[in-house]
Amino acid sequence: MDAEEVLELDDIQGAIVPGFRKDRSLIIGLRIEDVAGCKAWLRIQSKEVATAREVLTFNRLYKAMRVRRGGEAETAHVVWRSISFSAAGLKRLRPTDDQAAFDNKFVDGMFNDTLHDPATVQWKLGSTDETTPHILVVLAADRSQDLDAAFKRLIKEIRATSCRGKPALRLLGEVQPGATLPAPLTGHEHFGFKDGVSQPAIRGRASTDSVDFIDPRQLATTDPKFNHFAEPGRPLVWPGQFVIGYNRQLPNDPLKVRPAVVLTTLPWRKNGSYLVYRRLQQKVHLFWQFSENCAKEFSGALSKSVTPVEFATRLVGRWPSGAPLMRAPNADDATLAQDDSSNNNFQFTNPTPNVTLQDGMVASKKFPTPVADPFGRVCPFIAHIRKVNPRDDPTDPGGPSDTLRRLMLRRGIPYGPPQDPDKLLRDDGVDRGLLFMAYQASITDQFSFLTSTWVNAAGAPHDGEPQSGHDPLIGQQEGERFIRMPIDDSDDHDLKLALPEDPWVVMTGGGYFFTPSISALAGALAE
Amino acid sequence: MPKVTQFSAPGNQKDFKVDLAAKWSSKISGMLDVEVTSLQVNPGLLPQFYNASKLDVAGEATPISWPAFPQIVEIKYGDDEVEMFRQAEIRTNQDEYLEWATIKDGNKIVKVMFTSESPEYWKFIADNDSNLMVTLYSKIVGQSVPKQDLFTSAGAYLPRNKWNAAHAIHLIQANNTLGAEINIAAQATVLRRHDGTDPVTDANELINCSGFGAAERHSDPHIGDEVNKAARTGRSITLQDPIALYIASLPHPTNDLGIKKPGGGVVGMDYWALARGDADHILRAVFAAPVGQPAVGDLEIGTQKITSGGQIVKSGIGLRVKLTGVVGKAGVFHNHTYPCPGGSSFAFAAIGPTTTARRR
Repeated sequence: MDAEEVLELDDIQGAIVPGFRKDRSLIIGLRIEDVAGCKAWLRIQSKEVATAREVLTFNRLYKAMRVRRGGEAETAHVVWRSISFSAAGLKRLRPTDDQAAFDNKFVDGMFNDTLHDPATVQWKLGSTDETTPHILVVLAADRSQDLDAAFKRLIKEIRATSCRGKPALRLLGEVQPGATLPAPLTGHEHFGFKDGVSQPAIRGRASTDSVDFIDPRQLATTDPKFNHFAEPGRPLVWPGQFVIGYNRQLPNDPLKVRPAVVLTTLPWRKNGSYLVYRRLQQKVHLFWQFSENCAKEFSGALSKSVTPVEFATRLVGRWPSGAPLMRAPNADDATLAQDDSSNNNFQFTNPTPNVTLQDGMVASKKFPTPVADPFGRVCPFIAHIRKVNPRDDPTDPGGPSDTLRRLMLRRGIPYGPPQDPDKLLRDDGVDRGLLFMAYQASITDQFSFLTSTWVNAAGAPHDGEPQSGHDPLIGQQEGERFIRMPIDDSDDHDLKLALPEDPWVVMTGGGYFFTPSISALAGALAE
Repeated sequence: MPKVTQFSAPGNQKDFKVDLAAKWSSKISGMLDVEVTSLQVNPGLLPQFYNASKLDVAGEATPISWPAFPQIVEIKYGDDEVEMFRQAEIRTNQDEYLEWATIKDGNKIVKVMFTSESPEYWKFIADNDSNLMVTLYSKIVGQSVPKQDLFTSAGAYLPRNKWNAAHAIHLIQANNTLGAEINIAAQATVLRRHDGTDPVTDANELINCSGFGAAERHSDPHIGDEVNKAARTGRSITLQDPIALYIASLPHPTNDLGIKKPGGGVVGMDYWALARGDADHILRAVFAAPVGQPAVGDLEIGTQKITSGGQIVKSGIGLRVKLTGVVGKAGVFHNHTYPCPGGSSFAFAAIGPTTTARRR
């Protein structure tokens, strides 16, 4: 296996690696009114934004305190900040740069991409270059008072950029708050399902210490899968898939590297990453109305009663608790959902191998072993988690090693209050949803590929006839959309269900951004 | 599924008269037989791959498709998109069973021609009816093609002739062959064990173990992966008649590929012409402006003009290539696994050398 690199954590923004993991966020769009004033502000910001080292150190401390104290009460508090730029924003700051060095999709903008999003006239931001922020600031904290104070400070800093009474920066649109949902939905998205269970692990180290891994390794070093997974079911991915300037994934061998991009032009891109931001409105009543209606039809086809939750679980691939359908095919299992060594420990096509943990125990032994499901009979091919991360399934571009090239670091957070759980079928008129944020080194090969080629396509990533259908959770393809739900071992008997014309997840604004290194904030972008 | 009485020409083309059609069928049957026979070098193996003109086996049509933009080019040159698209225009780099050529007016592209037609089919025509060869070339090109441009003075066919180079008549990249398709479909039915893994299930481990195709492509590992997945559940596999490689579909230029007219207008399906094959078996397609519409080179993807055919192949959901298998019922076969043979039985040198880093 090729050697793991040490990441320059003092230069990478902490929003990318390891991620803020805070309960509250504010997303603030800014337009540059005066370039010189903006650059002066950026020089200050280079000391304000969170570094990867700071966030990683904090997260380790937080975890250690929580473990020792047995809870989260009165542990440390902090406010994190990140800064990202649209292509137009970078052009304002560095007009002579050849933007061909950047990802095409980033330069063209999300509004020009083939994502099958609703008409841009419905977007709250990002529908054109003019309505896309030049700068996207993310503030994150656990407590609202900390976040409010940080926002006030940010506004004060922006006002201080004034030159002849005109600030160098202008707020664009509304400041977008995000917050994890209150109990019992903490960690869940608005439809009620646990979110963010599955994340790729970075194959890299925080220091020259040979075992100072950014993502700790749970598997025993003697386990044959030690070099493949940080935790059971959590694959190791070369860091260059997420941060520019590091070794990347080869599509045909997960243990060998595709060398880092050579940054002959715009070398300040090193330690940066592309941020995809999407404001996804969730129409909870539409999702559960569909699940309620289809559960009845599904019950008839199966000749047994299926609840709306059981039906919806097949759309997601996990139960509301987060327990994976592959390990809990018949009923939700809260114990499984809470077991971090087991809730992500499964394959789809092939038998899930036993893995030995560092304490010598075999992971997930107390839970049912997943049955190999090469034909999507247990977890339907259209289930969201299988559609966007088919794991060991054969896929149209190549297979499991190629799939590792498509993964992103997801940093989303819900917005809006939860819907009354007793009135899930009613439209309460409240705007709620998910602030999707994801970091990657190539928008073209990662987010855009996943969305246009898999999510919104009926016959991918799983080949075959009949086609399995569209992603029912986030798919937005105009025209006919459908899903096929397995009834028995024969796909001839699948229940084909039309998805409604109005999707329950609606894109209402967003954009493609670049999150530069700390040194670029202080240097290239502020010169 | 009843036995195939006669294998059809690719795309159900009606290029042949009765005798030549029968001869083509015999050629396909022979290619299948060779693969079935080669499987029997594995002691005790009951071949799961079969010749559908010899056996009557029930099965379901199962398409397998993959992106047509060459992955090798994407990986090697993807950090510089200008260079990546330049490299992708070189025919010897177009190795995902789709090749294309462009016609320009000055520097502006006016037409892009895509083909998935196998070299074997055209060599067969050349060997059997040189006049038909000239007729077909002339029809595709739209002007009279001199016979001497296609054949040596001794009568040998020149697949890399200037007309093929300019109009993408059929595949010429060394690994883009019908033989490769049949070989992978057959060899991937053998279950493998390797280095403590029994059976091998990983797509790349499988291709490296079995020695079919090249792991660096989109196509070969994926075909092998899907075929082996079916074989592991004891199913039979063959290729659906008419056996060939096909352009999977013609994507909508704007909705699927993101191609727009200057100013953002929608580019309609009337830019596409299906030139050979039928709607389910597209062998050749042409992308060009209808009368009165902006030329291809005036169209835009994002903020960039189209300056290469590869942009069309890669943009949005992109162009895809497919083959269609016929997969039988599960549990019929109970073959055990076999160790890696230590080398491929298949020679990827049907036409000539390749410029990309290739097979072991």
